[in-house]
Amino acid sequence: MTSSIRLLCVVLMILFTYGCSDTEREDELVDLFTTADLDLIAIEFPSEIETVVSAGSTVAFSINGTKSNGSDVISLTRKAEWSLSAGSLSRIDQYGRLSAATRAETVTITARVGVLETSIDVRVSTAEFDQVIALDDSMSDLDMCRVRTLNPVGRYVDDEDNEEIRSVDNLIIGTISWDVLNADDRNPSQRAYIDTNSTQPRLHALEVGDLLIRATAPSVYQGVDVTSSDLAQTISNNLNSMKLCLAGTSDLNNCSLTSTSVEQGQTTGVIAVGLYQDSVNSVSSENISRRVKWSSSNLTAANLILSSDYSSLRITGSQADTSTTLSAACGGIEQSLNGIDITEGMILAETVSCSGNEDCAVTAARINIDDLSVDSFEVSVNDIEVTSNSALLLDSRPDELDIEVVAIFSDNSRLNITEDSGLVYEILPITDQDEVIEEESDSPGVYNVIGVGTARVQLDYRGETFIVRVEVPF
Amino acid sequence: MQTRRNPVLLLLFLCLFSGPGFADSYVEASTGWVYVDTPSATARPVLLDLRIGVEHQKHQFELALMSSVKEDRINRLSVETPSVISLLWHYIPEQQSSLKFQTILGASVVEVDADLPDLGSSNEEYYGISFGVGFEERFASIPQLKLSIDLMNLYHGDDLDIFAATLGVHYDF
Repeated sequence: MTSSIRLLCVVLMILFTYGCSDTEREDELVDLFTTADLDLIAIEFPSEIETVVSAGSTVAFSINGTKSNGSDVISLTRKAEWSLSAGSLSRIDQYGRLSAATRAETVTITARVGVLETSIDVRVSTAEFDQVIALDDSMSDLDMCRVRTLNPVGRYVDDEDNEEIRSVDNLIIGTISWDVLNADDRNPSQRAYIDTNSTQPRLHALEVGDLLIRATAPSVYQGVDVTSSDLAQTISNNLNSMKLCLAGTSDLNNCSLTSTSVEQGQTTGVIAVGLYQDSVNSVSSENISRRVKWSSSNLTAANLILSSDYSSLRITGSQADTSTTLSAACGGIEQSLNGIDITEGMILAETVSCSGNEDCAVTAARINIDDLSVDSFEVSVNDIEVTSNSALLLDSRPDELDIEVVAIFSDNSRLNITEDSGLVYEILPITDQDEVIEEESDSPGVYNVIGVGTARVQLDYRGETFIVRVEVPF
Repeated sequence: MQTRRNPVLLLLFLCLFSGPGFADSYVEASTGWVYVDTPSATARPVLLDLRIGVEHQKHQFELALMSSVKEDRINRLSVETPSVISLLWHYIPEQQSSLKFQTILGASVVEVDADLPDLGSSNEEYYGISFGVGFEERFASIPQLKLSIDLMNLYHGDDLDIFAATLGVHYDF
């Protein structure tokens, strides 16, 4: 049999094999690999999951997985394949976000990761929102200078006047306005505030004390705005200690800052870190910059402003060769907050102090304001640009050398410093050579030529050095 | 369908040996890895590879029988390839160098066995085109003996790829 026919046999083998590919039988193996790679033994919906959602709302579902050690739990929300029971009018996306139908129905949400699968029944309800009845389904004390996301609970009423008590849905939550009052005098409180800039409201605790919180929202059921009853919340003190760190630090447990420097006109960032006793054996560190009271002992030395996301304090040096003590306090300080919008961060004009209040902690760091540093010089001699310590060869002997110096600063600004008192000129002698130049009095940078040979002048300014070298011919 | 393929493939293979013009036969023994590659992870059982074949001018036609001798594990998942049967054609173009480069084309049946305790297991055979490259270098002292390296894609699916990398010795009769 010729090679051609043998080759034909091979081609036939290939076609015979390829014609019956097995891609549909890969799924089981691929799923096993997925499950094994994540080292999972089970997946489950969180226990606090909402199983009744409002018609037309969007609800984010999540799924957790238990690792093979039986204790570690990881989020699998983005790795799961999400699906709904057949015939559902609602939709679910690849991230587990359910867009509930506008009609009542019951759907089964299934999440699958590898070979592991779990399902939950969810009822889409057309009951109408009436009012907020609780701040969260599991409220506990909040530590001062910490923040908590609120999941307000609402009362919903359906067509048959049946009541549903469940989490306020995303259609309503953005319409709630909040009042935070002191429990003792019912005045607007400076112990805490609620910000509504993200999808869920967040309670920021500032000082120890008891609060009454009221939520006002448009009631779909009643057709008017309805204010909740007083919802109690306690701010407590579990703060072990506070410290300052440089902004951008990722290791909040081990960072610390007692002093730093910033050049005039330049900006640096500082954060306040609170260390909290979460349990007997657990201390956690948290960036609390937004919720502490900041102050500077020398208002002319530097300018303070919180970053746009309130995560750090930005310090801009104003006056060189000065310093200030930057302080941060959490809790009930001695100074008044009148006139300060506590929701935008608190920077006081006077130095913060606790004055013995045990529900107050303060920390400080020294900030030195330095002169703007020099990156380089542009130097010319008799209008000819020169390089440091590189000889300028003159064609003929001039009567004088006229040195011009421009400093390039670290902020890219330029300044002619020829006559700046901070610029030091020094003639460097050459061994076994008579003097070639002499300084002209009252004319910085100007030298009379009195000889032949190498003239060297050292320039020093803010730690930077430049050496002018000129070869004066006969 | 799958169980009827193996005899047909063997029959086609036997056709290669029939008729005149048929030349030298050889055997080959190798060791290496088979890579079972999915989007999330790759397993690499160690395998043993035995081949018999015929060579004629620039062509080699062979039957390869491979089996994993050491399973691989991905956390609690054990993976092995109890059998790989391949029919392969090697084309060796004219080359000056003693190291001969080859192209490989053929078909393979790869059995993959995976077990994840308490969660599931899989034992499937995957059929597909195989292709790759190989290198052979003859031993100067023993002309019938060659060192052989093959790198092949045994199976290419939607989410599953199976590769083999082998190193062994080739003996010409």
